[in-house]
Amino acid sequence: MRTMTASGAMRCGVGILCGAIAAHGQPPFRGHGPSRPAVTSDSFVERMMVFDGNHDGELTRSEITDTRLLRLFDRADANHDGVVTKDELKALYTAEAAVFVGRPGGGPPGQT
Amino acid sequence: MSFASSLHSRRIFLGSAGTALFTVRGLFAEHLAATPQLTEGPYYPDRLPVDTDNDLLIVGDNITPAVGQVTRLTGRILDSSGSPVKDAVVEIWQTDNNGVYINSRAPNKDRQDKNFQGFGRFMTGSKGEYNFRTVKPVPYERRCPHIHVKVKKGARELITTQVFVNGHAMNARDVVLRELRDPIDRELVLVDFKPVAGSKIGELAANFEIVLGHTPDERSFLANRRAKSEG
Repeated sequence: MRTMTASGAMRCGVGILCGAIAAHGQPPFRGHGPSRPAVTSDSFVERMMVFDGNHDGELTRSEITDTRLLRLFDRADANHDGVVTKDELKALYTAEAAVFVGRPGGGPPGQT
Repeated sequence: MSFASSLHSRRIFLGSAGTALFTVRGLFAEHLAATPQLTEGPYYPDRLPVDTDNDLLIVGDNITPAVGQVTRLTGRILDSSGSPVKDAVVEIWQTDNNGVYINSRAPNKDRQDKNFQGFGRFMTGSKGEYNFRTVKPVPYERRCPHIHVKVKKGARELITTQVFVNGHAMNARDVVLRELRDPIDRELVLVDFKPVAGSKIGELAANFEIVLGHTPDERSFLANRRAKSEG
């Protein structure tokens, strides 16, 4: 039997894994949703700071005039002082990306 | 049964005003985040049911209701400035309590609840309000529970999206919800299904406000421009 290099063995293993996934039988339902602009921690912070009515660089609960986002505000307000800073927003982004996307801070390579 | 009384028997509940969306009273909120678009998926009905009203628990004159946790789904269609959109046709479709869609190509037809309408329509009035009576969605294959929503006005599609059950354990791994990388976008489609106080049947209420990203005319313009450029 031909000896295999370590990298060759790894490639072989990955190939087997991919084959196993492909053979699973479920349709590869990727959603095929609409294309979206790239999302980053900064783009999320920017979107939230649109609510910064007095332009002081922080958000208070009363500034969140879209009441559907109050739940998110409360989650971001880590120290429960009624004020959400940009750092608290970035921390929320990272923590929740880890839950939903599975990688801290974002998705596959090429997208943060 | 006369036409009028059959309509009455299907009018299960009155539309209710949605919760206040913005704290500033009046038509023009300072800012409203646009509801994200999500895929239509493969199971939009290929044949519409005979009954396409807003009560998915009763099919036509059938007396047997569908199985599942009764849910009132309400909300409003608003444009980007917060103004209600009148004469918008809101459509919802979802699996029955066994996870089966009415689309003829859907799997597991042997388990289908024939008493579930599976698809419903409602046209908004001047307040942009819509309401449906349906079942709380359940997991379907590897998808977390969700309700598909499509809004049209005349010949134009305004938005296609999905509603999710806030807090469901399967949400974090759902392929569609995970497309939304912005926490704001996820937030807007994660809806609380809350018990209705005093309900003897454990009825739930879910409120889903839909804010269109552009005015209906802007969307039409953009869609036409995109269609032309894509040949």
